[in-house]
Amino acid sequence: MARVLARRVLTSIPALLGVMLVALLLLELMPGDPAEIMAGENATPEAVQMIRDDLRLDDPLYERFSRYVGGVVTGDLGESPGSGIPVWDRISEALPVTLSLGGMALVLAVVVAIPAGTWAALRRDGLADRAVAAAAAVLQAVPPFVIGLGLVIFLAVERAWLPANGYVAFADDPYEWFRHLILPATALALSAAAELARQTRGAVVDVLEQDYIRAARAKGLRDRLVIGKHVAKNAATPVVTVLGLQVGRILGGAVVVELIFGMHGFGALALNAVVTRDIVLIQGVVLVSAIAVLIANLLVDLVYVYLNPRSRA
Amino acid sequence: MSGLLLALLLVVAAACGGDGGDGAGGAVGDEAEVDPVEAADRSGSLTFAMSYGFNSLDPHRSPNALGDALWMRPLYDRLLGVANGPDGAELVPQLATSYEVSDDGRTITFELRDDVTFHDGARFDASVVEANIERAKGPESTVASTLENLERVEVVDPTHVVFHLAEPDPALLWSLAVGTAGMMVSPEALDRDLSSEPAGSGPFTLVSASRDADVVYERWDDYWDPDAALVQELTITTVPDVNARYNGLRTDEYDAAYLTLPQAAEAEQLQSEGYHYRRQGGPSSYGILLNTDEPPLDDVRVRRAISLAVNREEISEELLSGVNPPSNQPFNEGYVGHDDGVEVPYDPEEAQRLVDEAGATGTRLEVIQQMTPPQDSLAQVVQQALEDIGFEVELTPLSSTEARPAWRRGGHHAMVTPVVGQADPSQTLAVTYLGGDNVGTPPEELVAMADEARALPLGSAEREEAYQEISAWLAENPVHVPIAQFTTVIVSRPEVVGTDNIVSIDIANLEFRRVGVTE
Repeated sequence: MARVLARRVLTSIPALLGVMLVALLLLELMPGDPAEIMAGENATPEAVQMIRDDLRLDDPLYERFSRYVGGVVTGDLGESPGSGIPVWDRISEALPVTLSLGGMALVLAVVVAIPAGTWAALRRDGLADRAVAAAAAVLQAVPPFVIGLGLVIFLAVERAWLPANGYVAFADDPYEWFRHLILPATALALSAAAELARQTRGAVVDVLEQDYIRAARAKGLRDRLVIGKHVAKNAATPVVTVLGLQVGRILGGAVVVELIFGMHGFGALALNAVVTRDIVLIQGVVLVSAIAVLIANLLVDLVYVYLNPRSRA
Repeated sequence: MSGLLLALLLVVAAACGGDGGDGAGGAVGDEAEVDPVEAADRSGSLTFAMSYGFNSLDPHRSPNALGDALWMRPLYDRLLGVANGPDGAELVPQLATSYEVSDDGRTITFELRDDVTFHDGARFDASVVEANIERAKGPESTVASTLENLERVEVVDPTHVVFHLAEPDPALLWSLAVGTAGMMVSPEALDRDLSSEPAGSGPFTLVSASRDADVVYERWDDYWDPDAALVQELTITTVPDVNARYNGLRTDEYDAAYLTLPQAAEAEQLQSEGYHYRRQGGPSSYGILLNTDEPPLDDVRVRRAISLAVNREEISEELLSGVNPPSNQPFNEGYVGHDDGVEVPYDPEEAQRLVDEAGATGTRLEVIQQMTPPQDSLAQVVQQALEDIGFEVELTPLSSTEARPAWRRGGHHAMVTPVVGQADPSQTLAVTYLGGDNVGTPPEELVAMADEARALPLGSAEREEAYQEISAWLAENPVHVPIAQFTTVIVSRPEVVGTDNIVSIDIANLEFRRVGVTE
């Protein structure tokens, strides 16, 4: 397992370097002079030159790249020009919000989708199967912000059962933390759950048709044992793949959901970075998002190894 | 909407009718209100939801000083402030108790308070003013252009300073009052980076400041005006989505919020539940910037045709849900220079005739479409209107950050965007009609009229008349085409008192002096 982990981490490095290069190239690809854009329209030439010096825009690209990589390795993502605040400080302030939101959305998606998908597979072509398929189709088609707005209006504004906005840190008040997360996490989880349920159903149906399942049943094993032991583990591989993909989607969906729920998370930070033309912050956001997705993929790979010993080779 | 854009739109406004009636350009809102000083619970707290976050709390070095002014106002005092008066916004004393402009308009003498201490314990006096102006004009300053005309500050004695101007510029007083250039920094902190650690003498001190979430302030009990801060704690929270701000307001998470369309219109109904709805007209307008150097727009008949082709009433009512009243001249209602007598009818036939006469029928116009609501839809309406009078129109969609730089680089015929106005008509002309957003050559006649009007004393009848004349002239001989007045909508919960004081002029100039909450 450790060897697999080491190998996977090593193969992630080129991807990470690529992301860093793209993040750095954002500056080059922007129309106009990045220093002028960041300085604002009423800035004096001196102020523009200061930003230019700050970002060392006059240095050749390879020098800036190696300096950027060096910074990232030592945990320094640079500073926003004009504010002097390390980008990492702002990201680390926003990350717990998004991790809580994304984590709860993933848990919700799994808790709803896997039983629903399995249930549908076991009653293939029955009423339950059709109901799950229909619900999944609808939920996958409706974007999270529509679900989010609907939830806010019905459960927060009109009935005041749950808070409409904001976030409370777990350390401050675990109960309020939970209450504030229910609506946004649900909005974010539903489309992920829909996809996951469909995949689960498909995988379980596939496995149920395998000879070894028939053999296990013929042997007289009880249904619960067949499903719990043989079906679950074999059907898990495609489900885990989809789950891994959902991490990226949830991160993307969080941008919109955080906005609707007035949460000061990573998504809101990304938007603010764009709006305030803070390119250094945008670079940091891109990099951290990429790392999050890489970590998710790494975890998926490790789960594969656990589920399928053959892939250890 | 982006911070930058807001800053542009909201740049300092002035003189809005504070009559509380439903005046087109004036304020719309509550009638009689209780006295906030009496009614406020001094231990209360107030949370205001804003659409964007700040960059820096350094009044002279912020990369977006106009947009950041909102966050600096609780922390810093200026020489002069702005408040809602009976005839619109007016200059009021802050650190200066009075000012006097010399007859030749070249010197302004301020008398200063002698009882002001900065949060860090330093004393305020005339030498502090001198040092601050030096900082605001220094090489690292982002606001130096506002003080261009200010040549030298002379310290007479600890409570008197004289500003010597290169040429008469009465509007400088407005610049000092509404922007951040006139904010006074503690003499102990002049050399420091103040972006996160401000050093002012304002009614609040900073508790914590997150650029992306909450900025929390606490009342400063040693402030010279004990009634300025009526809450113990003030929070400005960044909530980019207008839906989220609106919902937060209705679920009591925020006490007040800045709203844009469509919620800015919807929220009017909340008045029946006791919410305070304030809508205040600014000096800027949604409209069309024209490049007068780019044929066929170098022909004033063509520009006039464009102005006649736009159905202002319908755009105001339908597209902008009645939140933004029609505007047909450079100086909006409630501002110096506005001329009630100006009429620009909707007359597409006459417009088409003018285009024909100028031989411009069939010309292709390249128009920048700013992809921020409502300008994006407005651009489509304008496109249709211009095609109806014989032009071919090609829209170039650009984000709000790209649009204005692209416009200023030239090469486009027009841009549908806020036509920026400022507190004083001389500033509006400078930034939008003579330079800045006017990428073409300004008409000679306008330059001459503007030169003559600029030096006239602030508040004088001659000044008012001179600018009214310019307003009427520009309506007949358009440079740009204003369509609907920009308005700021602030909605607050029933418990908030002093809501009339919240919008002193505009959102970036929002100030929380004498605003409180009842128990």
